[in-house]
Amino acid sequence: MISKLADLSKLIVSKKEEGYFKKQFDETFKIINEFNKLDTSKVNETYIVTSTKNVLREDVIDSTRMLSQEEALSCSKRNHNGYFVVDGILNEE
Amino acid sequence: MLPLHMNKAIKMTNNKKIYTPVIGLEVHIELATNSKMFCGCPSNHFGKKPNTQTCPVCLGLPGALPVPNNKAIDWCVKLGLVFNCKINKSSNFDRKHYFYPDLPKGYQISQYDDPFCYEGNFLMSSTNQNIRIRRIHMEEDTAKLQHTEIDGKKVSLIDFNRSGVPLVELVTEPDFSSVDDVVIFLQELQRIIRYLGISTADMEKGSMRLEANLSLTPNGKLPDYKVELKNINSFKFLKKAMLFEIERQKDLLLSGKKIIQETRGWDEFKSKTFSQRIKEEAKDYRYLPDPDIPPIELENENIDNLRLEIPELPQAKRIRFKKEYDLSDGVIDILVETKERATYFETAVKLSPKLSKSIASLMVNKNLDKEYPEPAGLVKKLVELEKKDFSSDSDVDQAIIEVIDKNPDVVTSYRSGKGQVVGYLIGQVQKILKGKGDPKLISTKLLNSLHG
Amino acid sequence: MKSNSKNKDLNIFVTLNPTKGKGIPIAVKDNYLTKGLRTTAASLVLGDFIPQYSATVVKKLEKNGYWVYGKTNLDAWCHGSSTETSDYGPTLNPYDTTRLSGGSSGGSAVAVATGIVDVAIGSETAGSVRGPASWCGVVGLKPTYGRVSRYGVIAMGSSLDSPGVLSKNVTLSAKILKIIAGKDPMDATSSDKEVPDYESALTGDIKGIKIGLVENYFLDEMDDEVKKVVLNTLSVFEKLGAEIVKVKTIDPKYAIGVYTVVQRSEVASNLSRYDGIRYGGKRELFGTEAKRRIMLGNFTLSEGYSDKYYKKAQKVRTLYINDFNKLFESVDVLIGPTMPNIAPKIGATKDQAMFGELADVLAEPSSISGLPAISVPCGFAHDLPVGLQIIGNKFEEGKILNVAFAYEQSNKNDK
Repeated sequence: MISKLADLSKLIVSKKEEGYFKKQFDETFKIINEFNKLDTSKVNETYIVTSTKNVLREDVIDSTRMLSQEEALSCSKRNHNGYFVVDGILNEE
Repeated sequence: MLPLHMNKAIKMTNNKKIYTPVIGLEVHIELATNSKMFCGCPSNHFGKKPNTQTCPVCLGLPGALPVPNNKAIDWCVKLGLVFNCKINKSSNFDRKHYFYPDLPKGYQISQYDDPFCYEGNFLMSSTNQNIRIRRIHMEEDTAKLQHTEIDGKKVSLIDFNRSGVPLVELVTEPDFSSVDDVVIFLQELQRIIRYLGISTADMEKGSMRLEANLSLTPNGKLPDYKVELKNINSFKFLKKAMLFEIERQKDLLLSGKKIIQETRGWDEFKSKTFSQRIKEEAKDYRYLPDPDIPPIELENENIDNLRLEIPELPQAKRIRFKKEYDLSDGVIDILVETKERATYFETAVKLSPKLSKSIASLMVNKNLDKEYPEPAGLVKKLVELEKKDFSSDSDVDQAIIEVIDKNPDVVTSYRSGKGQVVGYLIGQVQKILKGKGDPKLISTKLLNSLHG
Repeated sequence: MKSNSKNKDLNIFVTLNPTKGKGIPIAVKDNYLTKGLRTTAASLVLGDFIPQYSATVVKKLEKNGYWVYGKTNLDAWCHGSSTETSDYGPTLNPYDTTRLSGGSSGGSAVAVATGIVDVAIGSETAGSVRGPASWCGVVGLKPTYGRVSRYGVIAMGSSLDSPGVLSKNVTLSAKILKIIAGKDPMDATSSDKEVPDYESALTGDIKGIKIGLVENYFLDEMDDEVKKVVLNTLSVFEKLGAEIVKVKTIDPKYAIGVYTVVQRSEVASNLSRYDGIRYGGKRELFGTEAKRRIMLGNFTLSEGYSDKYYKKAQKVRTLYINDFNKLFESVDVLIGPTMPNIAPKIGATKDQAMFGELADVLAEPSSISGLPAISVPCGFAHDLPVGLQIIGNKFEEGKILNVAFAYEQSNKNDK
């Protein structure tokens, strides 16, 4: 399970870490599962605690926040002619 | 063991086994709003220098937060209303997680459980078949990738100008069984989108993107696999790809092979579909209601107002044009192709109601509406053109001389006061001109000659 | 310089601002983006990240004459209650350097406790302001969720994160809250409720106010001396004319599970953007704690488990919200200990999968409910500071600040 989760999380987990995490997960779920003692059949889920709704923006261009190409690229490790660069991701057959 | 000829017979029936295509569509439409879905960057990214239209939000910088574009939501709902969808009074945005370099946050803000629009339908006027629309929801576009080589090394270049542009996804149920119907539906969808003015729906620019899920069924039941035809940027290519795919799958099924569930593209050069298997992680999108965005609640009043904003759409126009102008289906189809053209036609007809058929003909056969940006210009031209059809001045003169020559008695009776004979003389002139003379001109010229 | 040596000894700042500004110095937790000034979230992933923009809170402070003195240490990505998970080492407790400062806003708490600055900005997901404030003997204010903009704050648990203040007294917290609170068009979860003048509302008059003493926040496993110190505050409040009523909440232990699941799920999601393409390093640089949280969160969100964990947690969360709503029908504020114990020794978190979640058990119920709370120093146990926690109803920061102020003033006069 840990290695599958590592894949899903795009993380590299060593064999040693795997056992360590497994043990910690077991401990964690033991504590989490406590809440199963509570009856929640009569309540809805709360994913956000603000009671507001429809917080929207008008469709106008806000150039004050826009970054120049140079600023946008300023923190990247690899760029080329104004583009960000990653290793080729297209797997041609 | 069966006799040889029997064996052959079995094979034959097998070959005759009838497979019906089962096709469902997923269409992505980039909205033509001024600004992006969750930030104020311009959404028009076509032809712009790379990474010049970004901000912390659409570049996925740490700490940046999304705020949804009101107009994009309205437009999504409008499209849903056109397709008779139910509208979710209360919905929200969800995060859909996967890793890909074109996805700056590692998740796409989309809608999962509660799309704005669901359970709609579309009646195919050609076959009267009802196509069910599963859902129409709102999401954000990804960055644009370009695959190339730098210093001999394969790389992918990323431009985030497109990142965060509002994207509407329309999903149909797998209700199509004919490739032609798919194309008819998609073309009508494109027209509707353009009538609504919510997108350019330009496929070459990627403002409208098509995906068809296609499989074959021997018994009308939904097959347990589907092949996704993706990244195809024209109706023509999609049609070719679907036709090819039907044959490919049929061959595989007939030879008893299993069809791999996969994504395939269209290679126009080789005229065949090809597998587009890109290395993918296990697909588990781990949907999460986006805690950065409070829920969206649509009031009945808002929905009614949006409904009122929907213009008369192509199909309604077709029916009305038929009734009001008695034009052929072919002509009507061309007239209603765009809202502008249909409006042009009706504006011109208003100026000269009796010429409706001629106006339609000039627009459809000669594209004269393109030459005259104002309908009034076209009507003026039309009158001139009709004049041009009259016989020339000299022909009229020649004909008058001839008639006067041949009818000395009639001329004499006119000159003696029998004015009513003029009608007869004009008729004679027209006879020579084969009816092409301008009656006004003939009368003027004839009277001059008689008096002269 | 004295403060520099303190910084060195205690490891308070990840980055000091090299440009000397003119304003009043203020320390800012290193998960707030500061344009042009390195921001790391105490993770090696962002070891060289120079932000292109500043957080709304930072902008507001600068506009009001404050100058960012430095970026304070924290648990990497705020993942912890000790600062021990910082990739730049723990921040030590100024009262006993063999002990921890708490976290995740440990650097900010110590920057104030040592007097380097009078005010520091922290942030809290559950206990990250209150906890270190309690252990380091300073005031720690966690406002209502949505009271202060999160724009430009590196997200941990987006439905929980709340920018907060650590200060040497209650008045300063009130003053800074007034500056940083309010609607931000760039944060859809920020509230448009009017921001009162918290400072001028500090009258110290709490006569007739109803204080609910949360009985079940005095856990069995709690340090006895801490309990005694906290209970001693009751006589102060009574003297001030407040009415103390004993109340019970839903057992806080279930909130640990809710908080853990919601926070881990949101962490897994929020940390997905760190791919090393546009900024920062690769995902290999995530520390053990972050890896653990990301994986657990991806588990609680995954197909087949989301209902059992994520959705269940969000339902239990509703139970807590309803419980608090009911309690606040009959009391003005709730009080209890901030932390069940004193600052632990260095290394306490080692191999403790749930150290933070267990330490913050008394902050979690109010955090998952989005309520404001303040920790105010109320004495010492084993010669180490103890904090009194005052929890208010939504947007009633004014009330808890005034109760804290009244306590602070009367306590000062007693000494």
